[in-house]
Amino acid sequence: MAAPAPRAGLWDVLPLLLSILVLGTFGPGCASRAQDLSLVREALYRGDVESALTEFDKVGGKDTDLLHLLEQGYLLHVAGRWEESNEAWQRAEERAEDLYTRSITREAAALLTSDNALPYRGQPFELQMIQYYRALNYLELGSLDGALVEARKANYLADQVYAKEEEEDDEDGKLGPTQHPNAFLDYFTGLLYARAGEWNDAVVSFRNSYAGYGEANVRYGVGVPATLTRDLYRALLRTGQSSEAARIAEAHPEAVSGASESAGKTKRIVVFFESGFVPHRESVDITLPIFDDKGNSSAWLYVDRYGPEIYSYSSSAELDHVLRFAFPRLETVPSPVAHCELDVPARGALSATPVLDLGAIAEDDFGQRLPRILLKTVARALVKETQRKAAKKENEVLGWVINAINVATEQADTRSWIFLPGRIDVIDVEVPAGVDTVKGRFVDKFGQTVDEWTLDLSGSTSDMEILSLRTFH
Amino acid sequence: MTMLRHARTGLLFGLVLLLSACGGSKVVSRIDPNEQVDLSGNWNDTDSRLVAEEMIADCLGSPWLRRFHQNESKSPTVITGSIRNKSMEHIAVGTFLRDIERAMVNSGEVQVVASAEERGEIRAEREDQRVNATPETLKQMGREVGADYMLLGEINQINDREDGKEVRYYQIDLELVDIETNVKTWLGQKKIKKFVGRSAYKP
Repeated sequence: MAAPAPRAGLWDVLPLLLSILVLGTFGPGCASRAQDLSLVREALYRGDVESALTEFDKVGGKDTDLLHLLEQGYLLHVAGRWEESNEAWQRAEERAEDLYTRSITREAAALLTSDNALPYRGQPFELQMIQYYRALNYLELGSLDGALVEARKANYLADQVYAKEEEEDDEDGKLGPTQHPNAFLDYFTGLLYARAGEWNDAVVSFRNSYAGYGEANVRYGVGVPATLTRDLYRALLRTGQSSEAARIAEAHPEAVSGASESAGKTKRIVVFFESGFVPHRESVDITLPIFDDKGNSSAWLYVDRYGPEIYSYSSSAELDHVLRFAFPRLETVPSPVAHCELDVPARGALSATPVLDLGAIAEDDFGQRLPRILLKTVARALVKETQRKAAKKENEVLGWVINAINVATEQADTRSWIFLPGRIDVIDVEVPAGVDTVKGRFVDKFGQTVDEWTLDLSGSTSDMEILSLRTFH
Repeated sequence: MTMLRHARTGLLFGLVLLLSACGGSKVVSRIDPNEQVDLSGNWNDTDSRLVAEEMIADCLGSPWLRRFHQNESKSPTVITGSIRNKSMEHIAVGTFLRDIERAMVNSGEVQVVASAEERGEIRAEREDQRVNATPETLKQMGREVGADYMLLGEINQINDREDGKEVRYYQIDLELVDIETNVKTWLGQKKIKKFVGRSAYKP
């Protein structure tokens, strides 16, 4: 017959109650950024952009928060509020510049609490995408000059990324990070220069893009788009660089056949199809009650000793403190979209070519950051544990208070720009003169239409239109 | 005593948390519009005003004006055309154009006529007067002053950045073109170079 377990007094269970209270109040209640914006995303799924904006306003945010500005700019962009969107992104760019200088106070605060104490700086690939969207906004506003400013900014940022890569190659003798959308942005800016008739700039952009798709983007499964080789060939001829054009023609015979320009008879339209979402960050929370089992206090022993019933311990193993680790993981959001088509009268349904796998870039970027994130998590746990131990040594209650604060403040940094598309495809086609509407379709793997848009070309005055479509499915 | 020390630690901890959650307060004060204030290093109102004044002073001090006066008994009439922004910044070209027009008009050496965009509005007003104004105040059609020269320009930018250091170079090219002959009578150039330094850390 087993002896009855001794009854624990109030003082014995108080620390545990306190911990549970703190965890209940702060712990699981701290939702990830994606969870905070779940209603916004639901509204987007329904195609109700105005409700999405309303829900976003309810979540709130400050103008000093870069992430808030990025998301706000994006939602205003999809709502067709081009000027407001550009204003938000202008503030975002200025904020990103300000954040170059790191605050030592905040860095210290982050080591004592969590990375959420630091202002969100944005991932490099996120910041680079601002120029793509702002350029689209300016095109919608009828300002090609405005779009060209964004193109030049995009090229400047891309040059900095390339320079950093080269620097790291020199230092380590290996290929530097490739998690950037440079090849895509070079292609996009080349199109803008081509539309403006700035062929020298167009050649440089197309050439950089061609090299980028040929090298770095191989790992993302996005090869050199046929439309790019055609554009490069065309721009090389325009600028009188016939020997290089001949090399492109030899490597890509299809580029030559599609490069003839039929001015006046057709209108060229380039449509970017944006689908899915980039993977977002969710929190991994590990909470470990650490028991003091009278001399055998090694943390791992309690699992062996108490097995699955670790909470049914007797007074011989008192709760000593609670350890909590929190770090982000990447959550992929599957998209039903398998491919995209443009239905052009007299030409039928034309398939789009993938030009950017932003989801893969986000995964690659996160994979490279994860070791540092985990190292910081461990370092933070050590700092917190040192604080707790020192406090407990002098006073039991203060030790528990510090432990409770440590547990409450341990939160994963789940911030990221979650509305970005996971993938972008492109169709570049000559539409016969007189065609006023074309249909863009997002199609699933069974050939069923997931989303469909009608593009009105009747008001277009340019002989080349650059447009974008977005599905949130 | 030790209790007090740990209470202090706790308070410090709380303070750090509080600081990390708080933003700064906003301060608004009025300053002289001519005062030079450089915040981001971007093209700003001071650049616009100084470039306009210096370039127009250069333009009006050039031989073309003297030659014009020798051949004509009137002041030359100038129209401002487009100034293309080929920089990496969204420069308010309209403000720059107004600064140029102001510098030219205030010099008293040349007269400036309304731009193509402005003319449409003025012509609409004259049309409206034909119906609604009294005969003695009605302004006549077909009495506009034709410009002798058109001022055209371009703003280019080259940036160079390494770590926290950045050099921003702006080149502003203006040219005065004889509308009748297409001869470029004056070419002006102004360069601005700015160094923008950012420290990696602050307290």
